[in-house]
Parts: sequence; structure tokens; C-alpha cells
Amino acid sequence: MLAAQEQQRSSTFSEGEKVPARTWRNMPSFYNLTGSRCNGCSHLEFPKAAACRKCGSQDLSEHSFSGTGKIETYTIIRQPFNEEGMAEQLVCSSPYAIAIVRLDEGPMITAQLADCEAGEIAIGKPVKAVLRKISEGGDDGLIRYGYKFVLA
Amino acid sequence: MEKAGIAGYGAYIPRFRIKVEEIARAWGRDAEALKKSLCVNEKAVPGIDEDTATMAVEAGRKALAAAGMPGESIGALFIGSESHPYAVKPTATVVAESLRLSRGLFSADLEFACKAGTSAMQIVYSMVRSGMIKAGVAIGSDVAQANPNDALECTASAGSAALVLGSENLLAELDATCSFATDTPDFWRRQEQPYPKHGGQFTGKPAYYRHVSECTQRMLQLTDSGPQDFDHVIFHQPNGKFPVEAAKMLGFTEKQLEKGLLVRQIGNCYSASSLIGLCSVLDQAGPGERILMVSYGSGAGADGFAFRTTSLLAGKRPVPSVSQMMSDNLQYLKYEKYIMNTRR
Repeated sequence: MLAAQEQQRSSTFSEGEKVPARTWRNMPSFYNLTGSRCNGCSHLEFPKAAACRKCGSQDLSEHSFSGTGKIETYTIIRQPFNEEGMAEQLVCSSPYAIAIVRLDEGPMITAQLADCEAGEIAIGKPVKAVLRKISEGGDDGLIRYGYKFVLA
Repeated sequence: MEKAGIAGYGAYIPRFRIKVEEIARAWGRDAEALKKSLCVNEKAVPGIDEDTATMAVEAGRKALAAAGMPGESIGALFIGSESHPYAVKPTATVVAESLRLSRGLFSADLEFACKAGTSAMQIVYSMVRSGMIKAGVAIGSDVAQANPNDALECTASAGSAALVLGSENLLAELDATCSFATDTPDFWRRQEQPYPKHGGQFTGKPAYYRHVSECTQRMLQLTDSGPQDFDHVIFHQPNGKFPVEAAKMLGFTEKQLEKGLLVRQIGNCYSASSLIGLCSVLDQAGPGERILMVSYGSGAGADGFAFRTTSLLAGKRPVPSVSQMMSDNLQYLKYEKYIMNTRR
């Protein structure tokens, strides 16, 4: 992000407005895995790119991924992280798994693996994207929904 | 007036379960006595990051895929629940955005205890029949809440079911629908209270049985049928006893009831309870079979529906089926983990 753009954004939105604005801006990618397809060389990317990483073209259109893929690699995190004072509390309990998933269409995506125990996870296992709660700002905050993966 | 019915259906049940024995262990209660009085053995529990909206999205995606319809072709979305994530801010918009429904959508969240999902069906059905929309989605979805150590804790569960109602490519035609409602205070939850209260024994005769039987009798009159004319019957399932007793009282057999009776294994999914029962029947029914469904919502009311399956049903079944979601990849939780997952 260009510094000038970032500065402009922070002057447009107050602290209290940043979470709703960011949540709203990310909805297509968070809800439906919407990335981009290069109209020149057909290269697919997630998240959405401003220019094609492969051929540099800026002629891109939106592409929503199917959400199916395989576990490329993963790690188990045992550190609880919902410390007091965190602005947005993630909705999960430790231990939890974070995986790099290779989508069937090619791109890789980093996401939490939901609903599974460490012993069930293995590299190469098929997974599919589901919509889950990502974070909530306490009892009165905005709930952010987004993709996680479950074993298929 | 347009003919209308079900063009697609999808159910979602989380993979987590807790057994009545485990709840009884935590509170030092007699598991066998609880199981005997409720006729429930275990119930479905949501993942820690699941709620009414996320489960509605799962069911909705399945139903649209089964219907073979893109989101843009859907003109209405109504979601019934008594556990909408927000007091103010619709569940429907989160779900509509995730299902990529049309922007000119008629939508709202509904609440009528356990029957809000079937209220959603009646609204979408009437919009289709009036020609206002070509097709719409009705969803019942709930993460049911229960006061710890209340008998309700052994039944209040989580699940979701979505129906695409339309006028073309129907897998089941909707022949008739009716309702019966009175002010009957059997179960309630006040604003900003986490858990409901109920009238114990009072939830039976004047509440569940009266409304379900009045509504069923009206449906039989409306369709000029007797109990024996239906292949399957589904009643709301707050526990394993009420729907079985209601069926007996009204002249239906155990065989008519069995394919849609799921409460012993998944508990009471509130707004999704009778709808998941319907999905289970649709998973197994043949063509030209007649289905009667009567929901019940405390407070109190019942909605009745008479369906007739078509030859398209066999080709439009979603995967995984309800029975697969009740038997595959289940994970049984200890009480402590169950509390973490259901804390709201």
C-alpha cells in the first residue's frame, strides 16, 4: 500500500470506523474467495491483485475460487492469543491449526483449519472452504465472517 | 396463480456431538432417567466459530447447488431463528452476500420460537405464487441456548436447513399450507437474557399437542385427506416423546414418522428441527409420495405443509445427505469443550 494512500485512508476513517470499513471492503474475498483473473494470460490470483504477477497486465477481472484444495503444509499453534486489550478477539480456541492450502485452481492461501484435531491433519489431505466467524470485538463489537477450511 | 414448491433443499448439521450421559456426568444427574424422560441420546453442538449465519450459509449453498440455480435468480430470502447473531443487523444480508443473491432481494430475519423457519417458507411461497418473484430461499437456522443444568440442556442443539422455493423444476410440489396460533405462554426469552425459561409440563398438552393437532387437522381438511393418505409425516421435535405421541394421537403410524424423526441423535435444532426432518425425508422418498410437515413454535403456533414429490427428486439430492451428516466424522465432546463451543 502506498504511504500516501494509507495516510488518506486514515484521515478518512476514525479509529471506530476502521473495523466496519475494512470488514466491508474485504467481504468479496472473505465471503466468496474472490480473487482475480488476468485477461491477458489467464493467471489466477488470491487475494485480488492490482496487476498480474505473471505478465504485468492491469487488465484483470474478478474470479471467485471454488474453495476446494489440498493441504500444502500446516502448523499447530498452542499459544492462546486472546489477550486482554486486543481490539478484535479471534473466534477460536488453542490449539488450532493454520494451513497453507493449494486451491484446485492453483493459488495458495493461508487460513485456519476449523473443526479438526491435530491428529486428523496431514499434508495432501483435501479440504474445502467454509464461512466461519473470524473475530468479534467483545460482546458489543462487529462480527467479522470469513473463510476457514475444513477437511473434505 | 402459479404452482409452487421445492426446487432445491440443503441441510447442515455440525460434526460435534455431546451425549446426554456426558451432560448428566457434569451435573451429577441420572443419565438414564434424563434419556428416558426426553427420549434423546445425544445432540449436535456447533463449532466454536459457528453461528446461525454461518450454518445458514452452509445449508443455503447446498440448496442452491441442488436446485442448480445461480444466486442472481433468487428474489427473496427470509431466515427464521431464535438465535440471530445480532439484536440489530440482519442475518439475511450476511447470508445473501455469501450466497451472492440478487441485489433487489426481498429479505428479513424472522422470529417465532421454533417455527420461524416455516414462517419463512410461507412468505417465500406466497411471493412465488403471486408472481412477485420467480424463486426465493427460506431458511431455518439455530444455535439453541439452554440454561446449564436445565433439562433443556440435553436437547437444545444446532443445525440449519434451506429450501429453494420456486415454480419450475420442482422436486416436490407444495399442495397446501395453513397455520394455527394462540397466545400460549409455554416458553420465552426476554430481551438481553442469554437463556430461555419454560413452563415445564405446561409445554405439552395446551401448547405443543394442541397447536400441532389443530394444525394437522386443518391440513387434512384442506387437502381432503386422512392420515393414511400420506407416505411420510414430520412434526417439530423438541424431544423424542412429543412427535411420537402426536403421531399416535392423530392416527399416523411409526413407519410414516421414522424417516424424518432425528431428534434422538441430533437434539432439537429449534427453527431447523422440522425442516431437517423434511430434508431427511426428501433424501429417501420416491417419486409421487405425499409428505405432511407440521412445525411448532412456542408462544405458540404451528404451520402445516402438504407436499407431493416429483420424478425430479432423485436427481436433485444434495451431498452429504442428512444421514451421512448424522453418522460420518462425528466428534464427541467433553462437557468443558461443549461449554467453550456454545458460550456466546
